Amino acid sequence: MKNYHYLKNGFLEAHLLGLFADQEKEEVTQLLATDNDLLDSLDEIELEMEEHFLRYAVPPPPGIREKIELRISQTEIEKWVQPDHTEQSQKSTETASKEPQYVNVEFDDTHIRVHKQWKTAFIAIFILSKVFLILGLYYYFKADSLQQEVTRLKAETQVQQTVSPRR
Amino acid sequence: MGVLKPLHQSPAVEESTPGADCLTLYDRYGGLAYGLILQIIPEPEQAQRILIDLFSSPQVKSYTEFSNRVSCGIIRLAREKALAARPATLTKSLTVNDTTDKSAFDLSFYKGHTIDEIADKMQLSRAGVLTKISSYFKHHRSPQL
Repeated sequence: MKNYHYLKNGFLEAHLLGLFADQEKEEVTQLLATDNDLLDSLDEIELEMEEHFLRYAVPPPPGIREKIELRISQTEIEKWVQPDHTEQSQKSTETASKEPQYVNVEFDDTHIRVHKQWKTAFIAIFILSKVFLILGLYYYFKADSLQQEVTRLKAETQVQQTVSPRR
Repeated sequence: MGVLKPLHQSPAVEESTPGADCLTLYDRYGGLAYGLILQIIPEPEQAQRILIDLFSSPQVKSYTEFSNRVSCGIIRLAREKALAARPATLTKSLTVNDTTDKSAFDLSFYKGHTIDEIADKMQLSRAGVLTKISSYFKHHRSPQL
């Protein structure tokens, strides 16, 4: 009868959704441990709940998976480094102080991650390089034309000098 | 994208990419969790932060060890994290507009109110609220299945 009461009155749904306080949670858990029928019902309700929430599922935007992957990797590295670090410090401080501590990692990627502010810097550098290139070409051709003008004037002066003694 | 993997680990750890199981869970339940979080916090950026936090949390990793009740575990955890990160503007006082099954479910699950609070506001018994939540699921499951 008690099991029927639990099944009938939505206790299992509330338990699965985490709506109960700790004490009630304990009670339901204990009851579930002793009743296989309730466990079967719980499995059924779980499947139904999964289907229910899947109806309201929203595909996450692209890039979230990579961020999760990166976060997990960082956590794994932190976990790996921390116990190792404490072990070393316990062993002896003399060797630890002499040798720098590196984290050996295997980099499995063909991309480089940089801060997004670098994008602005790269654009600025690109624009500046183009400006300098244009200025360089401008002054080069200007200098070239001036050089030609100087050569022409020199030639004219020489012609004048050669003509004037005859007079 | 690749990942950074620490070298000189035990062979058991080296066999798989760290967090591969969590990512498998994300592939399966990511949409479900994101939809649920958006129902609690309708701000995509914050919802995405919670989603990342959820699937990189050690609790989700523990779900990978047990095949049973993974979906409900993720549903509960997503709800807990979303309710905890909910901005103060969304944590309004309990107002009951109607006493439908959906309303009882929404107030308890999405708004985070206790069964007692809802029972008090709806002028129902505790069991009455739980029955409403149960009926909400029964009502939703029957036409589509």
